[in-house]
Amino acid sequence: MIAAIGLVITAAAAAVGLVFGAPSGLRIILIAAALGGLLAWDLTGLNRRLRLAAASDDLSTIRRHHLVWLGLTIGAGLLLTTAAMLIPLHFSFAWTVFLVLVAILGMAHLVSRLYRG
Amino acid sequence: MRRATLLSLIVYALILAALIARSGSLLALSLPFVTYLIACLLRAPGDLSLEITRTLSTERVGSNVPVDVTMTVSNAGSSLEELLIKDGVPHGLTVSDGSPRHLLKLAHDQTVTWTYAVRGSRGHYAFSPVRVKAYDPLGLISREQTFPLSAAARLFILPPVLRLKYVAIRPRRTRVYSGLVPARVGGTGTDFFGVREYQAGDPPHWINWHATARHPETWFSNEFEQERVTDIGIVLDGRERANLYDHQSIFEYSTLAAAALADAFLSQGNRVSLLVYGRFLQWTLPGYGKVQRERILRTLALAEMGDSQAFAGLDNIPTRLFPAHSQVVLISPLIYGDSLLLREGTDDVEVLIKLRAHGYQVMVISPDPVTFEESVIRANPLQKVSLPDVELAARIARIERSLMLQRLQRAGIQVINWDVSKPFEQTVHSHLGRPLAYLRATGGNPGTQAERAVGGKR
Repeated sequence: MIAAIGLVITAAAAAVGLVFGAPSGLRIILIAAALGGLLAWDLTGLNRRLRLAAASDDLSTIRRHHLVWLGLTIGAGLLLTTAAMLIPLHFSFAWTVFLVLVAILGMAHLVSRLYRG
Repeated sequence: MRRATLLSLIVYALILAALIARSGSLLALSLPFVTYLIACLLRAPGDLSLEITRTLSTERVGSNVPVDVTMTVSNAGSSLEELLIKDGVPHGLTVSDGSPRHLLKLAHDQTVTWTYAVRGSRGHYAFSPVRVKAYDPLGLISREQTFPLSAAARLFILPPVLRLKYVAIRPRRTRVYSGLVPARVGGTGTDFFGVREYQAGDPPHWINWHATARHPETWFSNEFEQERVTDIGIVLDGRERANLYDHQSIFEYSTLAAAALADAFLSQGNRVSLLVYGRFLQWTLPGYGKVQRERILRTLALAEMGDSQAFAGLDNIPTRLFPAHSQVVLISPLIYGDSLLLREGTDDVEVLIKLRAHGYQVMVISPDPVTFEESVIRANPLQKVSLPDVELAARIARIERSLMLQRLQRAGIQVINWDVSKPFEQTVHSHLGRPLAYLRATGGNPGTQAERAVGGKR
């Protein structure tokens, strides 16, 4: 619960900082904080699941596998964010609306698949 | 809130905020979260294709004896990154070793096996289906499934069976097959029964030379009492009002006695039936041998206390279930006649006297509730009762009980007052382990000992 609140707070703080035009150094810190919140939230979830395991279970394999995946995912996300912030792309308003609609529809599809799963 | 919901809401909020603020950097901020969601979705577990088997080391076991449960899980589907498997251990059983729950990574075609041990008290336990939950590598998406196993695992925890060396009974009627119960009929046997006129074919050592010498005109032979098997009906009193004292139950002792007696009677070759009289009637048909022993023990494993208006008194014991003039053994702490909850004419003593009057040879094994309750009160430090008061109350209750048991004995009912702090075998040995000649001398009713047992407490 605390990790979830931390995730929401760090994401919201980063969003507010970015919207109100924080200096570039602070921007990096805000994005890193949001990613840190995501990491903490994820690892809390992992810990909760590992507590369900029996004492004899091989938890190190599960933990290692999880950390590899988490590292790859966060790394990929960070790479995309950095690329998006460093390479400025200019779209017309119509393109922007189109892309946002596509993003929202894509997300809706993603989330619905996620729930079906 | 589900983890996936929270993350989706954050992503939506960031995209919407980016749209409203027309901020590219805000949109960029949402990218790690979107990546996380996509990564989870890509590795989300599909349909679980598992083969699960559960094997118990035994299906019947004694109380508090550990039983090994072996679980085997094979994955015929795609590789599962995190798999939580939880076996449905029935309520009432405790896990004494290992764990019924495991978290593991299960690759395609991989099989894992583990064993855990459970133990519990008397009863019948049915295992629930196995619950399996598979997660993606980041634990965001899960798929839960229950696997009802083809062979439903059931565990009977039977009451302990005490070995009684010998239980002497003298029913009025026996069956035709030879056994160990005196049949009140002359013939071949071991105990002297009487003297009759010599018949051709009598062995020479049967000839009673003294009687023959006194009456030279004819010859006399000794006759021995035939020993046969008999019908025995065991009635286990499961009425809650009769068994619950100060929130502690004496019923387990009654069950123990029923199991020990059933085993002893069956091993003597008798035909035994069991009636559990409580919330409802649970009837085990009469039978012989080991199969019947198993049936009775399983019924006893299932026996529970309970109350019902219909069976408040013992007057509704279906006596037709027991053959006429057979031996009926009632195992009950007995309820005193002044209980306000009993209807008129349903007093336990009156019912038993009527049963005796109908020709049944009645024996009452009565776990002593007074001593039991007294020990419970004394053992409980939270009871705010002064010990002299407890002693006085116990003395009065004991006198009442003693009078009740004496009424039963005067009616020709064999009564065994069992102080449950003493071993049952010891009580049975001192009351029913006597030679038959002794029982015959005391009219088949060792009441004097029972009286002494009751009177000794006064």
